[in-house]
Amino acid sequence: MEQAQTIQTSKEGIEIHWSGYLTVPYIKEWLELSKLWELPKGKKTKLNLGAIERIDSSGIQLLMFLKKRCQTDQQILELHNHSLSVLKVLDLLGLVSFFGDRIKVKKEHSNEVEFRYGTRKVS
Amino acid sequence: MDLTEVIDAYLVESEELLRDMEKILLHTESSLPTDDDLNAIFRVVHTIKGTAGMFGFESTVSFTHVVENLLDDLRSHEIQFHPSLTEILLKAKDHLSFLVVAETKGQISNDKISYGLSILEEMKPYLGNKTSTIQTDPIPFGKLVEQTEIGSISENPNLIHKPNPSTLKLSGGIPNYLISFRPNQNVFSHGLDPISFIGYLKKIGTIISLKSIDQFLPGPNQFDPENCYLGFEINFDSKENLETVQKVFNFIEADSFLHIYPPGFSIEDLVDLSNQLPEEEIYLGNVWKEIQILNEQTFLAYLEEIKQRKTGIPSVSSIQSNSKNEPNVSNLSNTTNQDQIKETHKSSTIKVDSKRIDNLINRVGELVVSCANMNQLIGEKEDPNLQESSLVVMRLLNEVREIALKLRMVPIGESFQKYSRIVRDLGKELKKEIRLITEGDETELDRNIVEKLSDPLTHLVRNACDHGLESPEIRSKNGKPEQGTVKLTAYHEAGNVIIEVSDDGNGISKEKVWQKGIEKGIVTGDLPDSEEEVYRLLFHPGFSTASQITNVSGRGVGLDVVYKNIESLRGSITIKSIPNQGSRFLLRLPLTLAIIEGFLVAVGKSHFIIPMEMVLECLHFSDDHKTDSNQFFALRGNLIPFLRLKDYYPCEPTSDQSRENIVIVRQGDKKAGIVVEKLLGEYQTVIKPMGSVFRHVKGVSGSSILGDGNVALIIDVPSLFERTISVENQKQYSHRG
Repeated sequence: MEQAQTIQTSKEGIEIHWSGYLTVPYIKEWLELSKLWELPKGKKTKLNLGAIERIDSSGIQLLMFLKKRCQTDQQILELHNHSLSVLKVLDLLGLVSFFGDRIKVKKEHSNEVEFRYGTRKVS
Repeated sequence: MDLTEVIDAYLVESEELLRDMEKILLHTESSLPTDDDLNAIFRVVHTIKGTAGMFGFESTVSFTHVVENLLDDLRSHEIQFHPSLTEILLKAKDHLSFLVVAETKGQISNDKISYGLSILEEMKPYLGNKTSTIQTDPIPFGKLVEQTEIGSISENPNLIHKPNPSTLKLSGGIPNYLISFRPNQNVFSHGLDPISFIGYLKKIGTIISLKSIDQFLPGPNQFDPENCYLGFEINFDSKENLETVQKVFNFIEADSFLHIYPPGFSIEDLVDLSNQLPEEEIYLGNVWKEIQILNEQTFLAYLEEIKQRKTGIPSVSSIQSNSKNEPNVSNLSNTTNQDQIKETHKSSTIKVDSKRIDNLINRVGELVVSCANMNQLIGEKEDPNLQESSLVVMRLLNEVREIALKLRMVPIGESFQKYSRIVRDLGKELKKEIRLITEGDETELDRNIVEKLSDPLTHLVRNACDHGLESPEIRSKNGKPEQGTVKLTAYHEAGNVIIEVSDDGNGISKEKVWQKGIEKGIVTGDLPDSEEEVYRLLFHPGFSTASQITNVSGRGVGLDVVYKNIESLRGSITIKSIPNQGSRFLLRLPLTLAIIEGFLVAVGKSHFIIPMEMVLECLHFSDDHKTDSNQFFALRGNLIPFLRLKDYYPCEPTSDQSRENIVIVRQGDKKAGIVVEKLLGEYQTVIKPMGSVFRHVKGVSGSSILGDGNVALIIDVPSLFERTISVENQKQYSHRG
C-alpha cells in the first residue's frame, strides 16, 4: 500500500484525497502532510477518505485533532467519501456527531455498520 | 533488574510464544483454525509487538503491525482463513523469531528487511480481498437502499437503534458493565491499538453506547501523533462474567487506566470513579448520561452525592444504597483493579532466572551434605530424641530437595514440538509424506539437558526423515503405506530418561555398515554377531560422508557429533534396527545433573559413589563367583562381566586388607559387576561438576564432598560399561588380527 495525498482546488475550496494506511507507522508522515491549519481562515477543506484502506486509533485521533484545530482556526473541515474502514471506526467509537459530516453508506456495506450511538450532538 | 535482564526475559517469552504460534499453525494444516486458535495466534503477535514497542525495536513493531492486522481481520472473520495462509504465517513466525533476536543485538541487515517485506507482500492479497470475500450473505430486504445517509442531522430507521430502556432503570444498580478506559499515552509506541480492544468487546457482548473522550487532545505545537490522548467510557452489555470482560484488556499495560464495574454498581461507585479520572466530575456525569449509564433522575442523584461528599455529610440515599450494594462494591474493589488482575496471573506462573535456581539447588545440595554429616554424628550419640529430631529434619530436607530439583524440570514435550515443523518442512523438501508422532511429552527432564539435547535430536530426526524413510514410491512397492512415520518417545526408566527416535523406514544394513568399516580400515574380519558392535561403527568420526553413507545404508551423517553431545550429558546412545521395518535410536540420559541418590563404596582410602538407581544388588565377591576369566563372574548360573575399580583408578591401599565385594549394576537390560572393598550404604549426594581439566576423564561423571570433608568420585556407569566393552573389543580385534 502507498501513502498518497493529492490536492484539487475548486471555487469552494480545496479537496484533499488521502489513500493508504492511516495507522501508527505512518502517522507522523500524515501529520507532515496535513498543513490544514496553515490555510486561511474561512477556507473550506474537504478531506476525501475513500481510499483509506486501514485506520487505527492514532489515525482517528489525528482526524479528531485536525477537526478541532480547524474549528479553533475558523476553518471548515469536512470528511467525506469515508471508506468502509473509516466508517467502522467512526461507528465503533461513536464519533459521527463529533465530525458532524454527512455519511454515505454503500448498500453492500450496510450490514457492517450500525451507528447505534454517537450520532447526535449532546448539549 | 537491569535492562539486560529485561531483554533476556523478552527473548525467552518471545521464544515460548512463537513456539506456541508454530504449534497452532501446524495444526491448521490438517484442520481449519478455531476462534480460539486465531485468538491465540493474535495474542502471540500482539504481545511481542507490545514488548518490542517498549524497547523501541522498530523493525519488529512494524513487521508485527501488519501481521497483526491480518490476524485481527481473521479473528473477527472479516476475512476467511485460507489454507495457504499457514505457509505465509509460518514464514512470518520464522522471520519474527529472527527479528526478535537480531534486533536485541542490533543486527538487522537490509536483506532481512527486504525478506520481511516480501512476506508482508504475500499477505497483501488476503487483506485486499476481504471485502469481496465477506459479502456473501444476502442483504436484508429492509436495507436494500441505493445509499443510506446518516449523520448528525438525519437518522435512518434501518440503522439507528433506540436505546435499551432497561439501561435507564436504577433499582438494583446499573444493569450493564461500565468500562472506563484511558490508555497510557505511550500505548501506540508500545504497539497497541485501543480500538482493537474495544472492537474485541463486541465479540462477547453488545456495546450499548460509547463515548470517545477527546478532552486532552493538545494544541498543534504540543500534538505528538505518536502519543495517545483519547479515552473511552463504555456502556457494555454482556452475559459474560467480569473475568471474561477483563480478559479482553489483558494486554493493556498496567499504567493505563482501566476500571470495569460489573452490572449492579451504584451511584457511589460512579462518584468514586470520577475521583480517580482526570476529567471533571460534571463532565463525566454528562458523559455517563450520554452513554445511558445515568438517566435524568440518577444523574441528579450523582450530582447530589458529589455535593454530599464535598460537604462531608452523607446522604440518606447513599447510606441505603451502600448497604444494599455492599457485596457488589466489595467484590468490585477486589476484582476491578488492573494491577490485581495482573497479580492473579503472576501467581500462576513466574519467570525466574535459571541462575537463581542453580544457586538454590547448590545451597540445598550443601545442606544435604551438612545434614548427612550431622546425622552421622547424631547416630553416634545414641540419644533417641536427638535421632528422632534429626529424622524429621532429614525428611523435610528431602522434600525441599525434591521441590528444588523440580524447579529445573521441564516437560520434554516443549522441545518435541519444534520437530513437527522440521518434519513438515523436510517432508515438503524431500517430497515425502511424513507423519511425526510424539509420545511421553509430559516426561520431565532437567532444563539444562533439554537445551543441550536440541542439536542431537534435530540431527537424528533429520536423519530419520532424510535417510531412514524411503520415498513414497518405494514404500508403496514394498507394501508399506506411502506415508512414513517418525516417532519421538520419552519415558523414565530406572532414574534415567530414555528418548527414542524411531522410523518405519528401510532400516540399517549391518552387512553394508561392516563392509564400510573394513573399507575404511576401522575393523577387520567377519561380521560379528553383536549388532551393537556393528552399529557402533556409525559413531566413528569420519566413518561416513553424506554421499558415501547414503549409498551404503542411509545412516551415519554426522552421528559422531550426536554421540559426543550425548556423552557430554552423561548419556548413552544405542541403535536398534530391523531391515525393511525401521530403526530406533535410544538415548539414555540422567534425570538431572544436580543431586543423586548414591551408593557409597570404598576402595582402599578412596571413596566412590554409584548412582543408586543403577544398583541391583551387592554381594560378597567369594571364590564361588570367580571364574577362570578375569572378565566374567558367575551369578546364579549366568556369566556377568565385571571390573575392579582399583584397576581403573589409583587407590591408596589401607593397612587392613578388606575382603572384596561386588556391586551389581544395570544399564538398560545389561548387568555388570563393579568390584570394591567396602560397601558403605546409601548416600544422598550433590554432584559437583568436574573442573575443566578433568572433564574428559572417562568413567567419572562428577564428584561430591562427603560429610567428613572427603571427596568421593561419582561413577559414570554407562561410560564405564562402554569402556569395558571397547577394551574387550580391542582385545578381540587384535586377537583376530
